[in-house]
Amino acid sequence: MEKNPLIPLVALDEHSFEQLFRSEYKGLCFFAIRYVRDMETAKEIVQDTFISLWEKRDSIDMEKSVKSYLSTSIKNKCYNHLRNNKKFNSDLILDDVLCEKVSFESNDKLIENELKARISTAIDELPEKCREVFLLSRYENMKYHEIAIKLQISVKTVDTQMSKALQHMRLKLSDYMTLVFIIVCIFSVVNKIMK
Amino acid sequence: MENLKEYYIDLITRHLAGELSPEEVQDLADWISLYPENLKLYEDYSKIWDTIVKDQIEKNVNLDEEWERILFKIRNPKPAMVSREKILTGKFGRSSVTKIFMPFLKIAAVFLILVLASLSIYFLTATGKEKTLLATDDCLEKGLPDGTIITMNSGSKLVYPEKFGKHERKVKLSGEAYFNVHRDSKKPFVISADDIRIKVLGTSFYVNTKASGENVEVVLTTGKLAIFCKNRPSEIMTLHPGEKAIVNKKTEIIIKKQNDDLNYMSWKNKKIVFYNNTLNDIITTLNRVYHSDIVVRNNAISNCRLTATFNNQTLESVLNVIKTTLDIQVKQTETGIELCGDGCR
Repeated sequence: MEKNPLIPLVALDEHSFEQLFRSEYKGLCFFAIRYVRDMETAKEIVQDTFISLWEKRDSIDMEKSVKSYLSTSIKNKCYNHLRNNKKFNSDLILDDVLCEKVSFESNDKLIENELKARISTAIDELPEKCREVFLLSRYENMKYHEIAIKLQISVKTVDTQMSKALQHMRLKLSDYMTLVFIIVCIFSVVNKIMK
Repeated sequence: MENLKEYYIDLITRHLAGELSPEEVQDLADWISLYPENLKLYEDYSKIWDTIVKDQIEKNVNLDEEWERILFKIRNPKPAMVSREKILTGKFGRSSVTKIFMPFLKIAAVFLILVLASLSIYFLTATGKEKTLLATDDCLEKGLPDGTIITMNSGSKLVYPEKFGKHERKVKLSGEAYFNVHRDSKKPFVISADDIRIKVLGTSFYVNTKASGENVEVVLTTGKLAIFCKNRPSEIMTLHPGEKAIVNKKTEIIIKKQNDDLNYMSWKNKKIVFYNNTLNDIITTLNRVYHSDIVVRNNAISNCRLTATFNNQTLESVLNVIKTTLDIQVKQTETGIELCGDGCR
């Protein structure tokens, strides 16, 4: 088994810190969002973690990988945030216990262009009201009650439209996702055989 | 049966959006553990949601901006708190000397508390004094009390309160600046330039309150921005990234167009891009970025074209490249710099 490529923390200068930041930031934001489910909170948590890493750069145990330090630290901060906002028991039960463990891939490109294009098409195909609600929720980071106020509709309608949107997205994307999933599985099996 | 499935799909959607109450989550968790198909359904939706979130991150996260923010916080860390114990015990420790001073210390402490209490009441009720930021010779970069980072070009002035108000964050700008506003959807950030108002929640953009023709110019880099005049607050022009607004201070007419000036940020990062630009245009940009006084002497060369990119170069090296590429002479005079030549190469 290969050793994880460690970044020697003694030499963590601004330049290598910037490299680390640029390659991990987006993946870590995705990782954090799975817990806190809010873009701005996730960004703040990831930023604070990077700043702590910089401040502690002389005293962090160099045996452990930097990436696992980052993800552990972010996970803890997410838990703290959920606890402080009295949401402690909610989201954690489902994601941690029922589904696979949440991990993050370090990619500065989170999704391939092909998938991006498919998402765009799928969104364009949504009926107008549905699309409006979906875009406000996902790309403008608005909460359901904020959308309801802005579009002068009830929260229940926002609910229904979001469900409709997600069902449509599932229809349009799941065949592609299955294909990608199969390819990824084959690839990882091949990788394991090669090692 | 279909109704029940619809109900739980609705719960799943709301859970993924973070809109469920703890009881509803428990309900959903119970339903998922009932049958494997339920878990599969949840996982399907969860995967799609993850894909959308990734797309969302790709669209909303600007690495350069985020890096700049972190870099700023690293270079300007909050000062550490001095340990209180060190101050109080000091060199003497619990010797007899401190026993004599104790009653005086107690009185001083009470007095100090009273003074602090009245001061804090004063500061809590008032919005605080105004502070002024003045950029003299060079660019000035500063963090405001809310976490917003502003970079000002020389000769620019910003007035801001020590503590922002409850409903809005208001500042006054005169000159040229680049704002990286910290997101706060509850407290809009409002910039005043004479009677013109620029309002954002959390974005990054460029403002010039002294643009030619008595105009205020705004170019939006990321996020969303609203611009309007104080006297006509309902006539709002919204900008999207890559767009530029020009407001005339006298007529109060707002024009919106696509930003075509690649170099609107050059004064800040000294990155200049020329794509088949004429020498005249190039000199105008250079004079703006380097505060120089370059003049083109001969008409023969004023329309010579050049394509080049300069990354954080000195004016001297930029002129060297121009000199060599276009085969012209660069002369230093008492008033400034002169470019002469016979014609384009």
